[in-house]
Amino acid sequence: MEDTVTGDGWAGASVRGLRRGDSSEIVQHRIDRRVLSGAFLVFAGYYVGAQVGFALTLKPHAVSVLWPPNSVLLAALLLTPPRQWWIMLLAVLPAQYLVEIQSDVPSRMVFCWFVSNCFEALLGASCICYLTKCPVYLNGLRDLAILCLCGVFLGPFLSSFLDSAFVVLNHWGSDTYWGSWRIRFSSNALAAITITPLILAWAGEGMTLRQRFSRMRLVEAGGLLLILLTLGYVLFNKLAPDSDPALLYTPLPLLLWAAIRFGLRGATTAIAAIAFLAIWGAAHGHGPFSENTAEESAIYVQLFVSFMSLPLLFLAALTREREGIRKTLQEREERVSLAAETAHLGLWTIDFERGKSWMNEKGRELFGFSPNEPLSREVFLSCIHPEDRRRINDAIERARTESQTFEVEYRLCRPDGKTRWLISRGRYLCNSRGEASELLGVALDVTAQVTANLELRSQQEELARLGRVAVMGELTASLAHELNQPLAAIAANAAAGKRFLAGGTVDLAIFSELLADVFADARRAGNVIHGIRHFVRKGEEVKCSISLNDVITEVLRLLHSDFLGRSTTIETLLAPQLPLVRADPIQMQQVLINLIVNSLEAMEEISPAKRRIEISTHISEQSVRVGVRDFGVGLPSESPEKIFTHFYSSKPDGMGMGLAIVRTIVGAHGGKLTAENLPDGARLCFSLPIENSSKQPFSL
Amino acid sequence: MSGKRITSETVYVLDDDASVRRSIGRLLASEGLEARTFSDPKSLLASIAVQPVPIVILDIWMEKITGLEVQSKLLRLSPRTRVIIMTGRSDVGVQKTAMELGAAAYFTKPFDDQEFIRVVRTLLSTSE
Repeated sequence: MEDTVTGDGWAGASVRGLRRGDSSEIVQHRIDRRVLSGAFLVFAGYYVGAQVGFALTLKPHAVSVLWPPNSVLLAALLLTPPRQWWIMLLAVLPAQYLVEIQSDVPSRMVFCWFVSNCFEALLGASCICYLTKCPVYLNGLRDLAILCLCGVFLGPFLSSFLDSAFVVLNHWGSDTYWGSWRIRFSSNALAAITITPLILAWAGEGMTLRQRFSRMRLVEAGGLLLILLTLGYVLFNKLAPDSDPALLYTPLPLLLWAAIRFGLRGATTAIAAIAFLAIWGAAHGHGPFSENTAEESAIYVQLFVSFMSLPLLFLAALTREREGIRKTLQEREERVSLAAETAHLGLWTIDFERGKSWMNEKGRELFGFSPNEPLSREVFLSCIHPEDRRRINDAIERARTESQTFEVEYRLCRPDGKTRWLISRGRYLCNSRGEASELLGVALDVTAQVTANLELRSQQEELARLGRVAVMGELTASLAHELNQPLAAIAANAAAGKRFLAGGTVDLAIFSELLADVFADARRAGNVIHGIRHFVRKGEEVKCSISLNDVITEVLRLLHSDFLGRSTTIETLLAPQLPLVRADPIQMQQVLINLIVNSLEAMEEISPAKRRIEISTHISEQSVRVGVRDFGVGLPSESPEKIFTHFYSSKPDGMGMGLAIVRTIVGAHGGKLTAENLPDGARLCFSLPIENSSKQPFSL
Repeated sequence: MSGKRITSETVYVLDDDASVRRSIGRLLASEGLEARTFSDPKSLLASIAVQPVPIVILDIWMEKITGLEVQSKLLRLSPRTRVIIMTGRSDVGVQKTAMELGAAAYFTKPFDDQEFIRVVRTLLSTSE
């Protein structure tokens, strides 16, 4: 990220080098050219800086107020990788000689100054690079504070001892050690506070001025600079020395304007302009600083510029930091919006403290809200299906008081009359007092998923029902017997009654018994029909708390005739006080009937005396286990559980659906189905989880 | 039952369904015939051993023992007794076996009362 932002920084160069490992020669060449052009700029900057420094000297004692070369070198070092610093230092040496040679300074003194100037810049740059990430672009308050501490104060402070020692040892000039130290420190510190930030600020974000600023902004910047220069010129060159000192503060609004509207670049440029004009005026004996001695004027100008610069620089740095944060937030928001848009998510927030709410476009489209409609919990709840409303309200209330988060699935009644299925997740944010102050949430339309699930469930239910119809077909013999017994009795009783009447021998007592039997048999036949219809009926699965022992008793009653017809003995071993399970009673009947029919069929080839089925229930850990054991031909030896797959049948005319449906039903109830071979037969078992409430019956 | 007179027109009925037993008893009584009903094959066979009757009506589907097995044992005890088979389920195989074992008639429940009475009357008259 940073590489692209700081296109001119060395990070970009080295990354390019890494990416093109196979053409390193070309890259090396490019780096060299960059470094060389940098070195040339340092050379030129150092030379021009020195000339400016000379120009801003206060006569007649040649007291330097601002000494820019060292600040130029410091900025160059801060923008260059440390391993290439030596190139920058070498570039300074000829500039130093070029500057001093015109003043007839002995070369030993020139070299000494070169050493002390380099020492100042190296010291400052080393400390800054140690404390913060280089290259330094002054992206925040921290960078600026470190620059002020190390570059503006520490470097000039310590190097001035060395510099003054060189001056005294070389017998150069007439100043004392401390006089020389004071002048050098203040002039270098002032340069570091005005020149270094100026270079760093302009080097920082690349030369994309046109892209960043509109034409209006450029006009504004140009106008501001013009006004500032005019005002500065008038103030520091035309104003009488005894004018009101308050007039010195007239540039302040313009400087603030520059700092706030144009950030660090605006602030540093404006400061540099004002500093230059103030010193220029003082050096030429004009303006408010011209009345005193050269030393006094120098100190006044330096203090004025320093105290004007520092707060402005920090203000600009703060503005830049804020801008960075704002940009990051904006980027983050854009990323979230993009993700939400891609995933068709509705996003919303409700700020209770400020009474504001927000929802993205997708969310408003989903809920059918108009773009500026204010949101509240009540508005949300009014869109929710009345049957779901209470549940959702409870979940939100629980989140507000306890867990802070909620996740709910519900039906949404849209204004167009359509119903959509939604999942919403929400989170409460708390203020400093720990009170819920804001509610954030997302909503996802899961209608397609829910519809598909419902369809799948209805298909599974239909399959199960067809399975029941099929198993009924296999039980026709016993069903016919169950029905024919009462029908035969009714027919015989009716015939007998008719004959009694025809013979004229009417015994009322016999008739009364006869009719009672007819009535009872009719009911019996009705019950059989009802049982069959109930078993094969179409209808949604209804889970309730049931005892599997009751289901077994009911099924054995239903299959009674079949056991007779097939000469099969049934033995039951039912656990007393069996815990309840949550299941659909009809589907449980179906499971048992299928397992029993499977056992009956497995014993068709066995002699009737040995035909026996053992049905047992017992509690196993957290589930109820039902076993159906037969003494038939057994299961396929390699993989007994193969019988549960669709279309697997050992019978030539079998469809192989019965046990597959059993597996589906047991699976849908959260249970397990197993099959095993035993000596002389097999056992099929299924287990269902015990219903929670029945694990620990409530008692006092 | 034990107090009733055993006549040449007495018919034994074996069915494990009480209501069916009673209804057949009434149907036979409406024709002036004496019916003695049994729910258990053992007591039927014991009675046959003591007092053979011309006609026995058997249900095929019963617990522990099938009507066909009862028929075999009965015919060994009383070869002249004629057996009428009743069943709640029509099964060609069972019908064939019953006829081979010497059953005189085979009725699927519910049956036609006139045909039933006609068969009973015919068998009674031929046994005389």
